[in-house]
Amino acid sequence: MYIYDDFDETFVRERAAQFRDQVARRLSGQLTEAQFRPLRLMNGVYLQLHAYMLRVAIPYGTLSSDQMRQLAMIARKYDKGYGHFTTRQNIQYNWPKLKDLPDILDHLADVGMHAIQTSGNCIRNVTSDQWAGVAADEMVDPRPYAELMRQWSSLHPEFSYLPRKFKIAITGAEADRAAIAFHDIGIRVKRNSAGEIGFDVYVGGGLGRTPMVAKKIGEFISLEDLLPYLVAILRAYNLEGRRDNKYKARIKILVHEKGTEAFKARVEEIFAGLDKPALRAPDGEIERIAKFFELPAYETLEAEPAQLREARADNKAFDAWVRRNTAAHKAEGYVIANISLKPKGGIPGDASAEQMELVAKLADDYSFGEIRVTHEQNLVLAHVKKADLFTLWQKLEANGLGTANIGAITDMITCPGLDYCALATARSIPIAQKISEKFADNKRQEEIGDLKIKISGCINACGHHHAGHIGILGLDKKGEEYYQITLGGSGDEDAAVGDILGPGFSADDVAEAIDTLVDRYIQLRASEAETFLEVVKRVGLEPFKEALYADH
Amino acid sequence: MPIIKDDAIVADDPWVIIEDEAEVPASGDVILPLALVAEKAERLSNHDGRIGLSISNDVDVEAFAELISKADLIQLELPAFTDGRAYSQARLLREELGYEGELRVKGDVLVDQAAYLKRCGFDSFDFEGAFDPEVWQRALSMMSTGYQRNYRDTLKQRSL
Repeated sequence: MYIYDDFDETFVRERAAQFRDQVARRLSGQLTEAQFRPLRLMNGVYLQLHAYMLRVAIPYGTLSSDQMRQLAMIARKYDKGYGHFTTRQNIQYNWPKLKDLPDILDHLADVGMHAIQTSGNCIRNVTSDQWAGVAADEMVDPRPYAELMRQWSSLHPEFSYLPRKFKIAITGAEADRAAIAFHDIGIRVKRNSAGEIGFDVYVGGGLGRTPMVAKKIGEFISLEDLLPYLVAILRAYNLEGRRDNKYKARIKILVHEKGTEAFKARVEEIFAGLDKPALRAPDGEIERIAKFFELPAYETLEAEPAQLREARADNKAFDAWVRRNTAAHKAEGYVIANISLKPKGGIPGDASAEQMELVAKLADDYSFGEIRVTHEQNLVLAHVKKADLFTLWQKLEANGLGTANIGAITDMITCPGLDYCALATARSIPIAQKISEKFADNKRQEEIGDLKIKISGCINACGHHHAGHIGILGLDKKGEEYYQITLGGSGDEDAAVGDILGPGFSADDVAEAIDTLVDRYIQLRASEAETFLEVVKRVGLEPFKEALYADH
Repeated sequence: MPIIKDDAIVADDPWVIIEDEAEVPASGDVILPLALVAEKAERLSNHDGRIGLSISNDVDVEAFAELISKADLIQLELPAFTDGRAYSQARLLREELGYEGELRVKGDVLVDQAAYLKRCGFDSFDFEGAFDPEVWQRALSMMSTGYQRNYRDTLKQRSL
């Protein structure tokens, strides 16, 4: 993975010192809260319902074991002993004190981390496929380009006061595990038959009040044109994006109002006038970055070791975990092991300091000291020997991290909701907990198969409910929380926005309603192989509406 | 309201901002709205003094390349410090249109933005409120490094 050189280190140290100065000016009253606000936001500091919240960047979701240990230390020393992994592959601390924030940023800088642009109307943390570099179905490893974009977007002098936040995601696989269609810019890096690399660029995707699927405007943009092309998009947006209404300020609205073709033409016009050599990475820089992402020294291993076969035959729980939580790896004898942060009745995405330290140790012992964070709020050990899998699972299982539910109904994305968030209209976490309890039985989950539930506590859609096979949106009606259910959304390569089923449900009734929908799905499916989403696409909403509302 | 240039207050800034044609003095350095200069180019050609252009932040500067090339000063607007359009206008002026004269920003300039504004090509600042040279210098000097190359950039870039 990428390791800071002196230049990167100087940069984050200076940035931390700058923020220390800004906090001091705020604490002494030289800066008003209104003036301090955009400055703190650009350093990932929010003012939430109960306290300041610090969001730490985990660029494209990749962490070293040492970085994870530092996150654990911060959780223990400055928070209540835990942290919360987010849908943008970041980690949030919910209880730091303003006066401690500069120290926390110094601790982060000690391990090559920062909180730059994890908030604010600027280019946010660049996200990617959590299996980047190792997935068997990958065309090109996107991480070097994600790192290039991280550097390029950091404290960008032109693009730090945009109309609204700006999110970029990149994948190098056909299967979209980075939800690129729901980003301001989504990028798919590909290789052509001549072996050259190119970038398909999608623009104007997003969730929130006005969910939209991104449109492709750039076809196989060359590596040397990538940064200039991004500059052209951002410049068009910075100049023309709406600033009169924050709910219409994202680039998706500009693209929609202007029209995709007209927006594309404007980008190309700006692009044509750019001094491209001045905007490219310095010569040799991409090669320098790419070296950090060379695959580790894999051993030559048996493709299907006997230990794994035997352990799976002997232990049903382990077998279920292998089926659910592992994925095919590029290298023979290795596997991608996903660690669920969705235990029965737990808070999705939360990890205690002890769990973080355990994962760091397991990464050192079994996965070249590297950890990934997923946008679905789980963790990944990306290079595990199949022969080590049983030992690894036993250690996870013993520490509450062995839940076998990746991609299953209890593997929910959930925003913090009204338990933490100042914008929320309803709670999300207790809803997730109830659903988690209801479907905790492994046999039932296996019977249901792949089903993604996503829960947001307000229409800003941080819990990606629009993209859920089942989406749940928490709203407020005259002081009462109620929950609207959508069906048929997807954040993957078949990206789609879900449709509203009908009247909402009270907090007490949501889990039961989900149960009813699931039962109906099982009745409707042609075979066990037909997933929930496929059934919704085939039969439409009516049979599900009928199941939910016929008796009401 | 002070004018800041080269990180110090300009004691005798010659520029006068004029909004209306009727108030244009017979002589002296004036900053006039772009639309006025575009309409009255002929009349203003006899003006005894330099002419600067004030350009609001919803203007496509590339559509006024010729006027811009003749301007002695260009003033862009920051109506609120959160409104970043002028940063892109500045880069278009400097990098696409090759404007090399004085580029001034007027409005809600926060000291913490001065470094970004300079990197985008601004060289003078016209803002409300007090100017503390010490705070200004510190804000400008806190970042010595940057990942992007910019107009007349003095920041250290990664050397390979």
